[in-house]
Amino acid sequence: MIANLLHPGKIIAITTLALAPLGAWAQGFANLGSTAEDFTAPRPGVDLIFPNDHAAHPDYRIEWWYLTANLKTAAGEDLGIQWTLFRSALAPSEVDGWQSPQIWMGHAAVTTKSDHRFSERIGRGGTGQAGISAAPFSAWIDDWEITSSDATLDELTVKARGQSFSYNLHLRTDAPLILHGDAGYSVKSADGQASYYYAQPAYEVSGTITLPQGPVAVTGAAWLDREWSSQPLAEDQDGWDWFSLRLDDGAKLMGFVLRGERGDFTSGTWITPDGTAQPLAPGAFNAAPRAWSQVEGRQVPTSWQVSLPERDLNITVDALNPQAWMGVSFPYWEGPVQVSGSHSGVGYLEMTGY
Amino acid sequence: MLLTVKGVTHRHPGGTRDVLRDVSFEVARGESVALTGESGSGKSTLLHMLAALDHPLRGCIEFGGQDITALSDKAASQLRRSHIALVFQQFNLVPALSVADNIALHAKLGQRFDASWTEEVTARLGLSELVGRYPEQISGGQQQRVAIARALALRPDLLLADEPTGNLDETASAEVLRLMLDLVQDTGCALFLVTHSAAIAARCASHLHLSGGQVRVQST
Amino acid sequence: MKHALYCFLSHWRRAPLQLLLLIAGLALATALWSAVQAINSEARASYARAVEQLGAAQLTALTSPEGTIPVETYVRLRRAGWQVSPVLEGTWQADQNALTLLGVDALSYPGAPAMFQAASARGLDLSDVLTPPRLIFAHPTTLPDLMAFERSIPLPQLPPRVVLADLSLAERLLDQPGRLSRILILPNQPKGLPDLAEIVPELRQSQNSDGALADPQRLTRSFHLNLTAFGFLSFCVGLFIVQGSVTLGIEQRRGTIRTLRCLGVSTATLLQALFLELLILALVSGVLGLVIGYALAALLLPDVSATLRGLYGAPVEGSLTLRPTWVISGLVMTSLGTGAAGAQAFVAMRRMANALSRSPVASARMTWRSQRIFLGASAVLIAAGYLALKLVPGLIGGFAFLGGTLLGAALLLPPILFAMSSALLGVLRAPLWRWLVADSRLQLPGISLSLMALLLAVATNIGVGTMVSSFRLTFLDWIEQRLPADAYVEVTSATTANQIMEWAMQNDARALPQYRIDSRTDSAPLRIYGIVDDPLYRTHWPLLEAEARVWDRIYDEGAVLISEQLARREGLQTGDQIALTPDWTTQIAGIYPDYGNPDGQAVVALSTLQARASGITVSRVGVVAPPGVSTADLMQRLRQDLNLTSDKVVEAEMIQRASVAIFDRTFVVTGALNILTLGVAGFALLTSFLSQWSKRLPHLAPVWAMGITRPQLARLELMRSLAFAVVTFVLALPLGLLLAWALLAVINVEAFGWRLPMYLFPMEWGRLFAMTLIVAALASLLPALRLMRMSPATLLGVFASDR
Repeated sequence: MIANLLHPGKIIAITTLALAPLGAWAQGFANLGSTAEDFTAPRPGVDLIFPNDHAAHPDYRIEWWYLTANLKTAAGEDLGIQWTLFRSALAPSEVDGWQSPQIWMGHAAVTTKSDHRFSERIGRGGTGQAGISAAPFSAWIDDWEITSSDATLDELTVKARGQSFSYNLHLRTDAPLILHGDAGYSVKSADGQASYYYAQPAYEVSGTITLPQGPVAVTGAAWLDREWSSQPLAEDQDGWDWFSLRLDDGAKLMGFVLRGERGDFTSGTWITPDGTAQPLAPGAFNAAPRAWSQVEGRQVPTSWQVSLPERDLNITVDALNPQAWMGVSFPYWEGPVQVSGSHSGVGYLEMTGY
Repeated sequence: MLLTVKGVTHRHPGGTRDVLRDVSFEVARGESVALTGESGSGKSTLLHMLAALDHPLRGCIEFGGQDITALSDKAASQLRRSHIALVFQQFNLVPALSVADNIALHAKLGQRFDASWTEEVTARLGLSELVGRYPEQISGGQQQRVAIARALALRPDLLLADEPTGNLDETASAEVLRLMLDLVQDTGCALFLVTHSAAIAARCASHLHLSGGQVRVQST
Repeated sequence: MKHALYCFLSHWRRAPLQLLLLIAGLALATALWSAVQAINSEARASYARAVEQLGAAQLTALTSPEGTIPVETYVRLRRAGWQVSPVLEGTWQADQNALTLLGVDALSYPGAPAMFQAASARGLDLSDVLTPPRLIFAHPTTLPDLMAFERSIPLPQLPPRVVLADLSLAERLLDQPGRLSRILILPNQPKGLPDLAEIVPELRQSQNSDGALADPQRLTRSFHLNLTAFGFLSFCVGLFIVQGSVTLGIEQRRGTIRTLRCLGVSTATLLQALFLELLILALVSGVLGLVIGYALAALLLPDVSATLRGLYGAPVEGSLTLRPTWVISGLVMTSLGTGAAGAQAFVAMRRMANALSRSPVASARMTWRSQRIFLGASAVLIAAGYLALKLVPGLIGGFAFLGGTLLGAALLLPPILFAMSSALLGVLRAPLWRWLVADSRLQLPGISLSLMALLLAVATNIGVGTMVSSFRLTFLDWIEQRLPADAYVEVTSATTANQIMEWAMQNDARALPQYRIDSRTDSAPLRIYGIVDDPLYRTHWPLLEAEARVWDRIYDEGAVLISEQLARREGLQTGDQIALTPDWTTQIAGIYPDYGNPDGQAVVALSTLQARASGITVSRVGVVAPPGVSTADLMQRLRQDLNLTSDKVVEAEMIQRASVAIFDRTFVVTGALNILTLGVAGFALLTSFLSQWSKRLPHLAPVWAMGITRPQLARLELMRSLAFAVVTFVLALPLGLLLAWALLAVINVEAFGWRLPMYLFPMEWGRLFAMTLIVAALASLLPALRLMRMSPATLLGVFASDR
């Protein structure tokens, strides 16, 4: 996800429009894709060790803690929230104070059928303004945070606040972590670009979301993704469509399409109702746009036809709110979706590079 | 009757004495009237009132049957522009305009300009050679002839002249007077002439004398 | 209407010189006014650009009474949800130059987009700012001072001598790791944040205090007000020209107006024609004036920019932009001004057009009755000015006082001239002189307006000249006193400073180190210097007021000297207590002048400073040569013994020279405007002399006929003009001194916070007197030459046609 963080191609054009101060520096972030020599690269066959790997990996170029949730109000209204913390390193080290080359960026959003509110936070590592602690687990930037009372990710409190929204959610799960790809080694292109990638897709959520009209109690399900890498995209790849779908029969599907000049690269993971992860072979997952929406002056596919023949899955994925555009320093589309067709359910969709 | 003056009384603003007292007379079309009187007797004031440049304290002045004593500045200006021409002793011409422009000025202002008539008038007054000059480049007599040409070019109903020959030598003043009387004869307009010269007054059809604020008809 | 207007305007064809002078005068006045406006709006636009792009000046800042804030406090605010941006500011010794260094967080600073643009223009990006070797941003003119740094980037929005870098670099250069000077509160905070008082009770909020980037508009307001006042004065002088010329034009067309009325042109039409004439004149002159004004502004702007930078550190670019609002406002101003100046012409014309039956009278003679009107208006204006000074605080009151006094005094001129000529008539016996004086008195109504313009111009010259020269003299004196040592060594560390002091002790020289800390009062920054007990301070340090034993009180009793600005701003006097830091309050033993910068300063004994404050820095050490050693030798030995590069050791005299050069540049514009104002006044005088001309012929002809030759008459004309100039100058002198007093004692105090002593410069007056005479002579030269060349026939013509 956030492929655009890593890829120079489209971002320069986009960020000249960005108004936030950091937007001006986007090129700096974007250029990171070109030289990876000093950074550590993911290797296959490395065991992920917890709780250490919940924390930051400063010697890798990029990393994120990515939480999305499909929620309902007591009145049955659908909505979604996003809480993301990105880490982007200018150098493969961490130093105390302003000398730190680690840059942190938080994105938070609340999306309803008719409304999409988002906010962004940016800060430097080293000072304590943003960071991760492993035990007890905590990820934060400014006053946004995900905290656990212990070193596991089983019970989390999630907080964020924008100018016109805030939320405070409690997450709980008994399910095991899902390791994507080959025991957490997730290949991202035919050239072998890869990342370490694991997830907790099975949180139950309860909490409060505050919008201008007042606080509302919500319940639902959340999905946490963890990924780090140093150069997970190939040169020609310029965008990314990522699906995390929670089907009503208890199964879950993570699938992505990396759009490249040499053809698309697709992959994903099928998660059975009992929580077993089954990696999908490249090409097994298919997703094709069905309908496009005009969003912030560009065409974005907000309805998809998704199929996974090996599971007899052929579904339509529709955005709850087609206007769920994240107009942050590196703009992208991220919002809750609804699934219909051979299976039904809900989920989140992220699209970059449009 | 072109001009009827009835019971006109006038006093200068701030003055204590009536300059004119109950003055009445008439001027017909084609008639030439001379007004004589001592200096300060109110001759010029009376002439100004006939041109609607000044208003009487009491009384009525009718021009072509219309009372002109209460006209607005705009209406009075309109009247002069189209019907009444004035010739003074001096300061008759616009110094910045050429002789030709000066001659055409009144007719143009009154929208009665006729190029061939103006040309004829200019020639008749012997000014053809001078049209390109400016007022200060010609003699006093010539200047008065230009003023008369300007009046002729308008073909006015009434020509008012205030000491038109006062600055001229005998020959020149005789010539100027002749031209004005010719105009009366040729166009049928009325001439009202203020002068202190009995000789000039004698050449007009009628002669009024102003004394002690009152007008008496002099026999001619 | 067409014919009437043609007739009316054709007058100017016969009087081209008069028309030329009218247009030139009005255009010149418009030019001065609009040049000042162009300069002001350019400066304002520059400030707005800088403020907008660096975006920090209008933000509220959190500051600490301790001086600096630990980074943890910043993080505490962030973790509480406050959107804030940290700034570290300090003086940084780059090579031999002390620069103000602003350290900012490139990720949150409001000015980051401007930084990025500047960096990306060089193909650089964020990582070049945040990771070694890192970038420094500076105004293009400051870049040469950063030669030693490879990676300096031009950023024109910055004031000169203020450089910007990411905190990661700045905290190292300033040797203040983890410290902040202030924390800016960014706009658009989330709702429902905890109170600042809960999170950071130790910090204080202050408006508009982004240190070196403080809103330049605020700092420079007085300067622009000065310029505006100057421009307006010139414009008024120009309007005198218009008033004279237009009224004269009506007078000259008396015959034409009368003729036109007789030919049936209504009064309304004539007034319309006059209106159109004035409008055409205003627009033609306005456009011409704008063209000249634009050129003038372009010519002056570099100096103004230099002034603003030198005096206030305000960033003004040297290039001029043509703004439509400027063009329109210039034309409107000219039209309104012409209308105001022509108002009398309308009245005169109306009277003339309506009073045809009365015989034409000569223009009104000045009478004692008409003098009363002048005297009354003058009294009202002067009283209003005085009241404004007493009742309206600040610069506005000061300028209102100036305006009222100047105009009121100008109105006194005609009655004074009238009284003088009347008195002379009572005394003079020689018939020619009597004629000359009587004739001059007759001329007064026609030329008194331009004499008033001359009076104003001369008074302004004296006033502004006295102010500038007094300032300069005071400044020279002050800077000499403030640099008592023979040479100064720029140091970057206390170690170097100590070495120098040791060296001085060993070599029988004396060292005067400048230790200091930066603190703040409630409203503004405060710099506190610690000085050693050297006899030079006791003999040289300039003091405005002081207690007895002031130096003993400083060195032995921990008292403080404060700068005049600080004293005035805080309303402090000798003997009062002042809080230098929250826990350090002491008594003021004296007040000293500081013409160097707008911020507050205090001086204490070094031992006091060391005892009461931490974080003391030293940037310069003065060295006094041992007896018998020349400054050159001293500098040579300093360089050799301490292995200092030659640019680190500076002769005191050189610093003085550089400062004076900056000072002189500052007032170049004032000088230029002075000359131009006098020029406009000369023009006014010439216009009125020429306009009197046609009327004067009948007055001169009889005198000529009585046997006074034309050259004699011409000489008399010239003499009369000079006599007017002399009287005007004599009256302008006290007025100018009053103006100077107001500038020094009222305007300067309000604008800069310092009151300057007034010095008198009789030599300058002499020069100005000569210039006034030259202006008057030049103005009367043309009419006099005309008179000399006039053919007897023309003079005879006066009798011939009697007109």
